[in-house]
Amino acid sequence: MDGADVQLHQRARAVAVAASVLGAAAALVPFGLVLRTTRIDRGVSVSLASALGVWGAALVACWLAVAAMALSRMPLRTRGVAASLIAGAAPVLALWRAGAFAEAYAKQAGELSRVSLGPGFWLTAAAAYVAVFAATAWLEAGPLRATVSYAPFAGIAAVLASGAVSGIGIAREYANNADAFVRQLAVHLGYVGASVAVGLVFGIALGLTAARRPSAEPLVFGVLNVLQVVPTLAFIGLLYPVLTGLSRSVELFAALGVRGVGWAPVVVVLSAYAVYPIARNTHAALASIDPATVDAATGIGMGALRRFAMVEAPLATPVVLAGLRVALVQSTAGAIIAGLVGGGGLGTFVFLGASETASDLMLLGVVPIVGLALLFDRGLSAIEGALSPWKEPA
Amino acid sequence: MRGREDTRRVVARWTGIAALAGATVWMTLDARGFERVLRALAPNESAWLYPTKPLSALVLEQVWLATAASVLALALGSALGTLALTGFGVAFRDLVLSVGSLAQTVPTVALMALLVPLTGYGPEPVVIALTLYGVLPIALNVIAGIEGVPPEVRDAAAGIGMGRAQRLLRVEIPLAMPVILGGVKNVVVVNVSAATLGAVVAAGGLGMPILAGFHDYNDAFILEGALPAIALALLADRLLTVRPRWDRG
Amino acid sequence: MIEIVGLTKTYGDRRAVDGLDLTIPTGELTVLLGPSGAGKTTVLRCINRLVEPTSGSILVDGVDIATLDPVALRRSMGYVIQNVGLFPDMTVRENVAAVPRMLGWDRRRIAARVDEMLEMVGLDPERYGDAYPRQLSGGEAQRVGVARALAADPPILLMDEPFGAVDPLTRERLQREMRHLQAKLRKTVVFVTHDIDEAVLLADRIALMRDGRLEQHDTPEALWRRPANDFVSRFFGENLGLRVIIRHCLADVTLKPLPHDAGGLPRVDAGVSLKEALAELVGRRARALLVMRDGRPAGVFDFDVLVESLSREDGRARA
Ligand SMILES: Nc1ncnc2c1ncn2[C@@H]1O[C@H](COP(=O)(O)OP(=O)(O)O)[C@@H](O)[C@H]1O
Ligand SMILES: [Mg+2]
Repeated sequence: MDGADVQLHQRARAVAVAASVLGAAAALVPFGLVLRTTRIDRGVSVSLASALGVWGAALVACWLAVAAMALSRMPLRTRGVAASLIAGAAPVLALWRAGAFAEAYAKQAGELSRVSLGPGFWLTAAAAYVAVFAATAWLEAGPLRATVSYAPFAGIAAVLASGAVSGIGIAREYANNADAFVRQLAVHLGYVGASVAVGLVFGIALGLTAARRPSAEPLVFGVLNVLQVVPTLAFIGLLYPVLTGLSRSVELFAALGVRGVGWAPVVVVLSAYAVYPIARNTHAALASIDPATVDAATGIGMGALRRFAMVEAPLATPVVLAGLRVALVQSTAGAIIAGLVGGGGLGTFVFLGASETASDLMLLGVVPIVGLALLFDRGLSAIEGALSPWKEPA
Repeated sequence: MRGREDTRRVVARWTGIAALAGATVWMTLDARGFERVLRALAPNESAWLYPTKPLSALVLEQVWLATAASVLALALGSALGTLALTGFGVAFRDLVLSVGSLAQTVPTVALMALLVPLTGYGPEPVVIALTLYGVLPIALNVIAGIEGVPPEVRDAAAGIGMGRAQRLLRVEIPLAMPVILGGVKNVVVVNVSAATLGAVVAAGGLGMPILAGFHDYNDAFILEGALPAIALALLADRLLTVRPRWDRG
Repeated sequence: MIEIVGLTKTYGDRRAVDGLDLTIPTGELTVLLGPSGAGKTTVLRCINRLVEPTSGSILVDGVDIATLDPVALRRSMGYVIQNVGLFPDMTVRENVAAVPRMLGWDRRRIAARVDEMLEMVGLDPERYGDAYPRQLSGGEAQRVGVARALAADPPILLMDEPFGAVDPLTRERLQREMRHLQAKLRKTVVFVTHDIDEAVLLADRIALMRDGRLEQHDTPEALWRRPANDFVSRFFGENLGLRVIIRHCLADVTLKPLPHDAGGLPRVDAGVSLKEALAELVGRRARALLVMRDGRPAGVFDFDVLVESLSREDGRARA
């Protein structure tokens, strides 16, 4: 272990303590859970600590324990595993007991009443993320670290699956909208898939063109940059008269359901946005290949095709994938707009919830969007890493 | 050669900026003239200008929302970035980098909508959401810019006897400027664009006529909001696309 | 044999190579030497058709290479460049295997050949085979570059300042190894450098270039004794003689007979070059050295012996 490691471990202490303070504060702030008599009632807020009774005290105790471990002289491995497991347990505990609290509250306040997760809960989750991030710095990279990093997610999944939280607002919204949820999730993923597919085809083609013909580069990136800058809503607005006109004049488009609003403008706009990151990364990847490598490949007798397949493409792939990752995250978040212009998708719940000020319904749309985006981000990062063993590990 | 090329680029850049600025100002101030254009573009409508508010007010709202959020994000973001590079704050550098890449997963408009129960309708949720959204990119670029200063330059600065503060102000920040400005540009442009979505939470701005247009199937209202929104976003992008003289060529 | 006839390459109105005639004999190492910008790299890249000449032709074993498929041509020549150009995403083994793989060799043959090549350039296949280029030092990377160039046993080897980017100590070691390798393999090597010492040490013949033209083409000894013009003598400077004696070793010169009281003289091995022997005389402030061959005294070396040997033939003796 060298000096840099020691420094890293020391710094993680500070971060873990800060996370504990944040976590304890999150348990004590007076808006941990929101109690409503109906789903759109503004409701009253209570702190997690007071709502969860003895378990609330346990929650605060978790954070004290994490802080104490962070400052202790425990061996790195034990400290890392214990602190990240305890910190990760905090939101799981909070969620589980909030479920029980919600059931009790429903008995007392009636079937229409709701208990929603408030900022205090989300802060608890954020504090846990930070604490686990810090505590895992005490562990060496490897299966143990991966396991404790993802254990909290497994815990949350277990609590959700157990049905213990079915009384909480977002779960009630899900129960009321289960069919629509599955349908809109599929629509949302459809938007992501379609736009990213278009982005890949055009992005790679344009990136290659710009790399091969430098004279084309300003034009390609000039146009893509303009597309990138145009505001989503204005973009859809510009397409509105165009697509309306097309569907009126061309039978086929009308039959396909192309209209000024609906799925068509959403796919066009998301696709246009998805091209840029992929094109940019394709171009940058090819431009950053050492000319000596290309020269050597040609010099030892590779033809243009073979050189591309054996040398340039493998070197560029991880960078192109990074562009794909950006496009995926962007499209997953961006497809929310479909809910505003009659295109369905998870945004439907968000905008419906917004119009009714029903936070739980909004969350039913937002939480899966964020979850999907994180999943894509982490998944593709892992693939990029696996595809480039020759690089310095990040 | 170089000189002529440079001049051409400068002329092209400022022509573009002048055209975009001119178009925005004209659309905003000459309501009748703009109405005639909208009438020509959408001849079948019966009304061409969004009746609730004049365009000038909408443009001002849009600019105000974007400016407020950008200034706040810039202040908080550069403070966060600088903290993460100095003293005690260094402990949080990796965390900032890690969270920075996650922040983009939350759609801006969702954040605005979720804030409504806390803040009520109006400009507040928009400014807060856009500020939160902009802080991390600014901080990331400050960190990347300053860490990107070549170590030999740092050494040389120390070697000729500059103190820590002097080094930061005279050498590191100026050299980091292109990267920092790149981040500022992205954040400002995103804010100018995303302010359009403020209409969803009744914050005003150019999204209002667009949404009204969708609602009433009125092409003219849509274009009345979309055209200035696009011009503003492009204008912000062009204005902030700058490279310091030493980095050109 | 590589015959370059009337080779000219222009970029715009700049003549990078200007009517060059040069014959490179089979089995010899020919150095293209000259100041930066002389056109050396351009000539080299014309030989494997990475650059197409503006006019003139190049014949390899009597065949005009313009009539050959450039890709096939390049596979018949090894190519080593200063920046190495290893494929960063391939392991050392995969890099060395690149050409044999393209030539469709079977797996076993490739694997055996790769290990053989790595050992030949002094890299332990066990230790380095699975490393990626970024894990290598400059010298190691350059060895892999040489191994890759030689893997398919091409009769011709083109090298462009291959040791230009490594530190002086490593460079010297690589040069020495290159000399031994060439003594063993006897490839037709075209070696570009601007380093006079490197050229003198490695070359059978040096082709000295300036502004795209050939100034003189001869052995280093001949360049020293009979420079063709002012540029040649200025380019090599006063002390070319001092440099040339690195090519000859004590075993090749006629030593003085052993005196009776040789016991007190400093000893040197007969395998040492005249240059090192001279350094030894100066370093020890001695008048004479006792030359040992196979552990036994073989004669005495002193300044007279050196002068005597220099007035003899041009012929170059190899270590
Ligand atoms: N691709 C090219 N385009 C324009 N000029 C070139 C090109 N390659 C080489 N030159 C010019 O040709 C001359 C000879 O270059 P080169 O063969 O690389 O010289 P050397 O290898 O001897 O240093 C130089 O003046 C160089 O600038
Ligand atoms: Mg050269």
